[in-house]
Amino acid sequence: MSKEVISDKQAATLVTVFLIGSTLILGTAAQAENDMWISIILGVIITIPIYLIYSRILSLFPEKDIFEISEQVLGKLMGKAMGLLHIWFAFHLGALVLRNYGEFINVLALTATPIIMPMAMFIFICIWGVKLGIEVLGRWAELFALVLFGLLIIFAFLVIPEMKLENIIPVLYNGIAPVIDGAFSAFAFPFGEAVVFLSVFGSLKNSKSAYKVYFSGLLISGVTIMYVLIRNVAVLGSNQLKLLYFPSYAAIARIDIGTFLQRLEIVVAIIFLIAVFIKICICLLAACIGITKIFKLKDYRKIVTPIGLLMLNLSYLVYDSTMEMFDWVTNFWLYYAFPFQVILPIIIWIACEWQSRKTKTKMS
Amino acid sequence: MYKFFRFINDMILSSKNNKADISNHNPFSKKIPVSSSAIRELLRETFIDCSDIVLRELALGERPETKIILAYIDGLASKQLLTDNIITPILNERNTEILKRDCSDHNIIEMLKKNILTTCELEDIEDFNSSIDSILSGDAILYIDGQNIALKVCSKGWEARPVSEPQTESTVRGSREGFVESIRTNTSLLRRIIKSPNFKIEQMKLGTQTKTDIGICYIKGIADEEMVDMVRQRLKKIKVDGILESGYIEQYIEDAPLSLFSTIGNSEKPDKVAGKILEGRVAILCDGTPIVLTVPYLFIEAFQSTEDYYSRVFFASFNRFIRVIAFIITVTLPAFYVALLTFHSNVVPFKLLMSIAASREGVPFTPYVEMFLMGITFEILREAGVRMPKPVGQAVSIVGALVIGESAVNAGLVSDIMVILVALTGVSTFIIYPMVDAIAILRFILITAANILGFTGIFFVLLLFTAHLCSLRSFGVPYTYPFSPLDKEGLKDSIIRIPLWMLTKRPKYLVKNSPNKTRFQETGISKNE
Repeated sequence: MSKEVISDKQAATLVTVFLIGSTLILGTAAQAENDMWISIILGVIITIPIYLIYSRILSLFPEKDIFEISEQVLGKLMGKAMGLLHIWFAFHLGALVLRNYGEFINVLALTATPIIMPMAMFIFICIWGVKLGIEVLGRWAELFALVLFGLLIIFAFLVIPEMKLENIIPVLYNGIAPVIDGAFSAFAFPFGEAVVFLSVFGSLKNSKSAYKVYFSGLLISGVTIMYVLIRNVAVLGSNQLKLLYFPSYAAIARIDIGTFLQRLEIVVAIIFLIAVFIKICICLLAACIGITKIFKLKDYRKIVTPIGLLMLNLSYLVYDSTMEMFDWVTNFWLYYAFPFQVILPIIIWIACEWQSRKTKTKMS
Repeated sequence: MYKFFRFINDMILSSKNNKADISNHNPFSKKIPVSSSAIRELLRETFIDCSDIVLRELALGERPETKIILAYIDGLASKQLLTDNIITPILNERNTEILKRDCSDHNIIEMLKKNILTTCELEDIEDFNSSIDSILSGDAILYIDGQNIALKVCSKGWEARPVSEPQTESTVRGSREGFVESIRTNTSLLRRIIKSPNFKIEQMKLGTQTKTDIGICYIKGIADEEMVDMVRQRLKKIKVDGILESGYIEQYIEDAPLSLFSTIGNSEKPDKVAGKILEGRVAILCDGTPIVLTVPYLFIEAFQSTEDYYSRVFFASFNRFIRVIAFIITVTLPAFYVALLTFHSNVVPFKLLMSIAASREGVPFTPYVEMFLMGITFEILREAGVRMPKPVGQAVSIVGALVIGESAVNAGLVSDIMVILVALTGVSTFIIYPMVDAIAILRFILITAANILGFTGIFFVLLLFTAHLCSLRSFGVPYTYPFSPLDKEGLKDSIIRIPLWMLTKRPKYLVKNSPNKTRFQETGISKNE
């Protein structure tokens, strides 16, 4: 079976859609209240060195993913341990995102349906999508990025009458501390989550382009998220924002043009579905590729279904309620994800540099 | 999975094919016997109980020992041509003189070819079995006593439907010609449009019993060589006893036989097929059907029509938009209606909800059952409209329109809005006729999903289908091109069509080897060879 490759454009789209993912609906940097947009800018700035590390790791070892790389540079035992941690992160992240989606549907659309039902159906679609392979996912993302951004732009115009820009001022009313807090929160969710792509981007056409892919993804998604957060604050005001689980949904629900264009929030669900599909698929794919590599299996497609079903189980058990989910996302995720997003890649990166130096000196 | 099915297919076919080969008259090549009596015996034996074979014996000049047997199938060969150009010259007195003077056993074939026979196409044949094949496909064969070479006279001339307006694709503007059943006429229709020696028509025969003529048409230098080769390879792999229509070929060579969506296009219009060939596609002609296949076939082609290129820009783009909207309506509208009434009635604006509620008053079914029944009814009417004999057509339309539409509402079985919806979706389907098969099934799946999970269900199913579309390829070209992979050049002729003079480059994915090929370069012969 020939190796699957994705073009730079598709990879960048995947990163963008992945990062926008659940953030569009859940929002991020809630601590900063009406200064969220500053938090996002700071968050993007914090992300830049981390992405440099990710891209550096990928470009040092072309056509390899993080599992092969860490085994190569850290030795078999340490490498496998690192790989297992990566698998766990991807797997857990996938489960959390799936739960986000389940809660979204459960709170807003199918209130009487047990939450497991939409989640189970969704994970089956994701399993199917992952079995089609990264190439198809890349093409799908490319196609639906058009839809996603098209809808976002249409909403950007429609929502203008509802926007009150005075909601954004006073800037830095609460001081700089919550803004920086929010920036770290924005780094952990969503920007740092792109660490999952280290497992998938072994199939990049040209691994030197990892820089391009990561940074174009970061730029586009950063701008989009910032815009969405400004929009939400401007439409809803920071006081109301705090009360809502899904601020984007409520913001779009305000659209009412000529009593004809109203009730458009259902379209937000489409955007969310597109983004979440890619996000879960990438997480599932990363976990499956990891397990295949670590246990030396032949084809990852054979284990997608069991892993997907386990992911469903975990996502069902991981929270007891919607409140718990939001508590976790805003208060604990930052600290939980930090080792996976920063410390592990840095260790691998240092080892990579060490080894490449060694081979270079040997060569000369 | 598809490979597995292809494998099974091959297995079944090859086993069938072996049997067919045994029953086939003579699988190996065979020399033509020298003596005329032996030839006659052999022909008699081969064509035993074939009442339409004609064996005419002629004496060549005044040498009664040299006999000629003219063999043809009555009805396939043109009698006029044979009488005027074969029999008359041979029996003509002046020619008898020439023959008497110069003829010998060594140069008799040359003599016949150069001085006597007056047909345009003559060919030597050394193999007896291929001479039989030629007779069966309408040519006449001259077996000459004392020679092991026979002469093949192209005399195909049977009754055929004249070129007429195509039934399936009608246009307001553009050529009225449609393909016919004869492959030769069809190639001539194409050749009349593309007058370039680079336009190649490769011929092959498929089907062990029917020996159907197949033509592979493409323009050398524009079409991707790899793709043409892929078409050839796939066609060669077909092993079946009969090809009755190009649909047989389609089902054997398509990339995804188990997909709802067709990855091979078809058309009945020469100008459309010529346009596709000019874009770098390959056309597959099949004798006996006016439907010509074109590959690769992409999703977007269902929304394109020849008239888009003939009419002016804005109207053309507008029509494309209409088709896209019709597609969205016909696929999703019934499902959205079911979802709205079943799960999301709070989303409907209040006044609209009131009018829907008023029209649904007294209807005994749930929206899903109602929609499903009406959908099935519509499909029945559609099928009846295609299948019925023309004279009873009136009955179907009266029953369809009046009884089912009007009376069902009056009887309180269905609501007014439902009839409107079904009519709208039905009409919209016919705008995008190439996808009518996929749409009908997709619509029912969507209605069912909408009844189970509401909007969420609809989006899930659409997600599945779009992911499936992205996974499809037609002869190596991604099915969703030009949207994904996104291509600027391709987008110029997708949902909109920009002016023709701005469409300077060919679609990148169709002409892979040299993506920047312009539409102007390829007119010369010398450049490509």
